[in-house]
Amino acid sequence: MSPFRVVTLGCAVVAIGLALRATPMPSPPAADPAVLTRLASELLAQEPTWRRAARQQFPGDQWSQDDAFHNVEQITVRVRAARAGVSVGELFDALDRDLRVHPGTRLVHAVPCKPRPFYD
Amino acid sequence: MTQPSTAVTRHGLVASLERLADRRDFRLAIFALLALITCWPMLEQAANFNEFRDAQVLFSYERDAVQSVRDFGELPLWDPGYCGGLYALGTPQSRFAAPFFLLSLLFGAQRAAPLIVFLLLMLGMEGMVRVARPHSPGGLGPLLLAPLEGMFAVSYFNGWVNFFGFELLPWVLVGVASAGRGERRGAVITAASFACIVGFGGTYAGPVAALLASTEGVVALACSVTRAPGLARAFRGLSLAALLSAGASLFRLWPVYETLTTSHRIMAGTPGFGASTLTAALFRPATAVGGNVGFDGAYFFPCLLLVFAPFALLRRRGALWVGLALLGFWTATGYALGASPFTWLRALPLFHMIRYPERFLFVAALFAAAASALGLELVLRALRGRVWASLVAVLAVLMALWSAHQEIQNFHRVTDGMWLSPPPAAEARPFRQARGNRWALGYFGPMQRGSLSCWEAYPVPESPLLRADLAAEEYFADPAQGSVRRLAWSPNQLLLDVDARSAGTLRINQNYHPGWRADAGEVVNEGGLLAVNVPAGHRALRLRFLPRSAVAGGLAALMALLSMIWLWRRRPLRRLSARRGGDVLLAVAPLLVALLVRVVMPEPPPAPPPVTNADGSPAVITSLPADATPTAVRFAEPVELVGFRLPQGLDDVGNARVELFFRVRGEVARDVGVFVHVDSPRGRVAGDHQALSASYYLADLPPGTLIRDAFSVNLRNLRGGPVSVHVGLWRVSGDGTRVPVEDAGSTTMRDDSLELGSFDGR
Repeated sequence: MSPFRVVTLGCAVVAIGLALRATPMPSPPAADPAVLTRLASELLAQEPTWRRAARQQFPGDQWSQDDAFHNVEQITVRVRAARAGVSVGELFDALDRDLRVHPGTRLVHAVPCKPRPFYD
Repeated sequence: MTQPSTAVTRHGLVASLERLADRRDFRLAIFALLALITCWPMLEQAANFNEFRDAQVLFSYERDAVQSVRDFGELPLWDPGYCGGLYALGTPQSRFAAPFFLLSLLFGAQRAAPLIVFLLLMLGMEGMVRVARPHSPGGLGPLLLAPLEGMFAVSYFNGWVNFFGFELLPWVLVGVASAGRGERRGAVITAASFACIVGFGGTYAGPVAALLASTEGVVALACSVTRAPGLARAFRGLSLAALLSAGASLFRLWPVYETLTTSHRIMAGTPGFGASTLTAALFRPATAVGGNVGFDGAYFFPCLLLVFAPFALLRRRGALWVGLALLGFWTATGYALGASPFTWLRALPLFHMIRYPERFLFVAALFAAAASALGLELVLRALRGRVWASLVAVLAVLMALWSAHQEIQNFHRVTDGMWLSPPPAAEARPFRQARGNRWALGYFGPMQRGSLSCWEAYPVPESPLLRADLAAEEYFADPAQGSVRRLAWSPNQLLLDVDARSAGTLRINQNYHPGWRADAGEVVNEGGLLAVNVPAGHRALRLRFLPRSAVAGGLAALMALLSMIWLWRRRPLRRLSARRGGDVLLAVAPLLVALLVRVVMPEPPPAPPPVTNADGSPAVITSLPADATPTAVRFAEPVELVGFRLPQGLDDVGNARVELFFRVRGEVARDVGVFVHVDSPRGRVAGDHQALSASYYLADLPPGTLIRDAFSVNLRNLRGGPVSVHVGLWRVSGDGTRVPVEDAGSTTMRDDSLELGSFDGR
């Protein structure tokens, strides 16, 4: 085998090795369910305010309103999760559980995706 | 077309460099080293999760596809995890339908992403060399630089791994050029690279590849008129390439075509950039600030060797490349200069989906690099035998090294600025739809939760009946009709225990698609929701997703692959079959197979969802609503305002909903839009828009169609008194003037602005 091929194969092996040996950033430990429930309740209490703001931001545009709501939701979830030392996924899961425990109390149906004609 | 000119005698340093560059193993070693250095930070961070909003969606497509294959042993045809379920092959931005998916299967979607980039960077560099070296054996340096262009760094940052499909564009050019010389292998290379690009997804690389292939094909045909192999063989070679490409990529083209033709999407606006903005995008390094990369440096291409590009004008091929580079730059200006190739391309069926003209900067960089290589080659030839040749060669190597260093640094700087998080923990539990969040979509898949919150570049057919709080995902529309229990679940299959007291409709909390089939009862579309009309009785019901386009396209691709292998193995590769049309018949076979499947496998046509206003009200109506105020306004363009409806007042958040009813009588200019001025003593709010119902240009409306243009404006800052509404038509681009009102009827009109009336703004 030519030395150039050895170099090529070596680079491929190093690349695969780096990808496989890469270590993920540390995750928060599993959260106390009571903490998650409390955080979820706090977030859910703010939903009407976020929905109202989204209606003002995108008057008459249902999908954009829903999308703007979810943007505020995810920003707030990340901030609260970081403050409380819980994972973002766990907090989203807690929100999902609360919606199932209290069905029909909030907007839970799909708002069909209708991307805006303009983004520029 | 210029043929390889390696016969030129070389001496000294230049000759040594050339001999090395001629060795494929040497080139690949250099490319592997460059790709490894470029990808090093990405590889070190391969275990982490890209939080950028687009990455959340695009990565989820790949992760869900891996899960389908690894966990369920199924092809990733249906993705239940997003938007209430969508056809995974039909959504244009998924990238699993390419050979690189094998890396995702082997190493997982997360860790495979930088490995795919590593591989495609190498392929891109080798492809560039194959494009340019037949014409410029001495100019290797510039060719390395286009595949490292800043667009790729930004694409990785944004999670647009499918943009690395652009790295395969040179291979399409290599294939078409070879096919145009009547070579069988050219057709195979074209088909393989085009199918990879199409399978790898995105709405840019595929159309751009088709455009460049067409250009190269026309050039090959033009050259063949006066040179070997002659027009007839060139035409046969190119036909073979086109047919094989169509067959090999049908598995993806067909589903994507179905999706885009049934999902009405309007690309409004007149995107464009001035030359200075584009120059900054090309020559300033990129920086990531606040989770975004700005436009400066987004196409970073600090190629010092561009100084040699003008010399390429001395050759016809060089002049073509310089011309294509300039054309690419001009196309990238979009609407900024009024007209450009971009504005003309948008009129074509395939290209109307292209929103961002600046992506053509990569095309400009690609051809500029090729022209630079040829220019360098011509300079070295002119200096042959002189000491200056070695000096220029050394200078060129140093320039190439500096430019590559700048590009790699740019990659590192951009990827260092990525917003990364630890990957979400996976949970093993039954799949259910959740309200979800598309901005953080990546968190829901590992939790076995779908996201009804949905964003895509096209309006996904999504049922408003989908819910995120159901006790069970499968249920009878009328609970008195019976009970249902899930026995088995996978993305493409559901096995249900159904006990129906009477015939009824069983609902599945996923979107309908005509590719769903049931072994009992009839699959129906219930308000966009997947449902089955089941007869009375107790039975196990199996639902399976097997769309015709996947079967037909898959078989066609398989057949094309076999044809390609057969063609590749036949010798000589550089000639077409002696039998006239023999190879072409082989290339037609995949398309015939697809046609046969289309005939024998019945499937209802995909039903386009109704076109609605942004507030959900129907856009196309048959008659003016009874409570609307009729008008008879005619404009200088063939448009009529036939009525309107104003609100009584503002809603609880200060929004006012207005409806205008338009009818088009003939061909309307593209730039005509609607202006809306809502005036109160406290000021004015504008509600101008070019897309009626957020769905149609006036120019696109079929004559006679009555359209309801419903929109709202927020007037919370104008609350306090009567509010008047003035509307009219104007030219959105160009001079911005109002379209004259020819006949206002009984409506008050001033300066071509119609006063519709007023309402209470408190």
